[in-house]
Amino acid sequence: MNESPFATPLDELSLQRLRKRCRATQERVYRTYVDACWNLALRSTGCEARAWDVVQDAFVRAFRKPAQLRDPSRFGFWLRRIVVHGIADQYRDRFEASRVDSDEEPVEAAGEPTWLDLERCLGRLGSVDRLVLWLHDAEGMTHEEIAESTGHTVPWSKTRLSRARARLRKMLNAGLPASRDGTGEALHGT
Amino acid sequence: MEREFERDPFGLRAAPRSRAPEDLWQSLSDELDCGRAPARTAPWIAAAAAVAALALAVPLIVDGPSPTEPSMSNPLASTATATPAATGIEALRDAQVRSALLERRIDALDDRSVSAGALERIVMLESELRWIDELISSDPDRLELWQQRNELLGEMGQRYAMNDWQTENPTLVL
Repeated sequence: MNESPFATPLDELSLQRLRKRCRATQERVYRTYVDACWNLALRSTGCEARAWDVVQDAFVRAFRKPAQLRDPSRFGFWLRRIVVHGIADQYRDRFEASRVDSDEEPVEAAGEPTWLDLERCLGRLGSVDRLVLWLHDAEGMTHEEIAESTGHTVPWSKTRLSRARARLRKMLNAGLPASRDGTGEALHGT
Repeated sequence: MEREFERDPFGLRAAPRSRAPEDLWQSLSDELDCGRAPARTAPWIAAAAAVAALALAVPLIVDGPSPTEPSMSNPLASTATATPAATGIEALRDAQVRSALLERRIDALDDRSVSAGALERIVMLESELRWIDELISSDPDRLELWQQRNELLGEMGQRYAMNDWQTENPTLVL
């Protein structure tokens, strides 16, 4: 199993320098975690502009309040929580929590599923379902962590995950949306 | 322990990862440079509070009674002596001044280290505050919104002061 990039620890000295707002350290720390944050935000929001806002706000918050973190080895996970909160905030602001999913939309010709197909199906999931699915399956977060980060309950997280998987499976099985350029890499490695 | 397939049936963990845009660091760096107030303090709120503070401070200085800082445990209490002649505008200004004072007090407290659980609570309270700020931005003269803001800031201040993020209703009198 690949270890989450958020698991990369920060050393005590770096945390001390962050507390002194050392710009060089901020940039180094940023470059360590930014791709992980970006992928999480982009996959969860499905929108580069929103992902940009979430990631920038998360780093601003982390760099302005590093004193709130006791254990530098947990910096990545602390940052991830801030990112997840930012994403959840966006959903709340846009009243999307109850958005109807578009999984009934017709899909195109069947074929071997590719990453691009999966991406397109993910994009059709409701924003909250997509977030929970990504946090659990891709980020490896537990239901307890998801519930805590999003301000919901464990049963809520389990229900969302189950529903998201069922919908994604249904979309993939019902007739795969064809890759636009046919260059997508096979999903399950044929 | 869950098997890998059960844990990640669609293989999302192995999905291709994209790189963050290069411009993002510059944008972040600019924001850090400009020393903008944290998101919870919308610039217009700070400006409104400053104006209100000035408007309130001048007559108070002239008339005698000096304003007392608001207590975190009673964030709705008036900072100035209430008079029967107090108007709605004065109450609004009073609430705005109190908001600025409470926020300043929290800023002095919120650099302490906190646990991960506490951070969750902080982020949730700050989210709630941002939500109220958004409502205020579209209706800045609504007194009850400012009062809600002060109540929330009062709770945050008490929690920071006591480092208590578990109790439902902290009651420490500062």
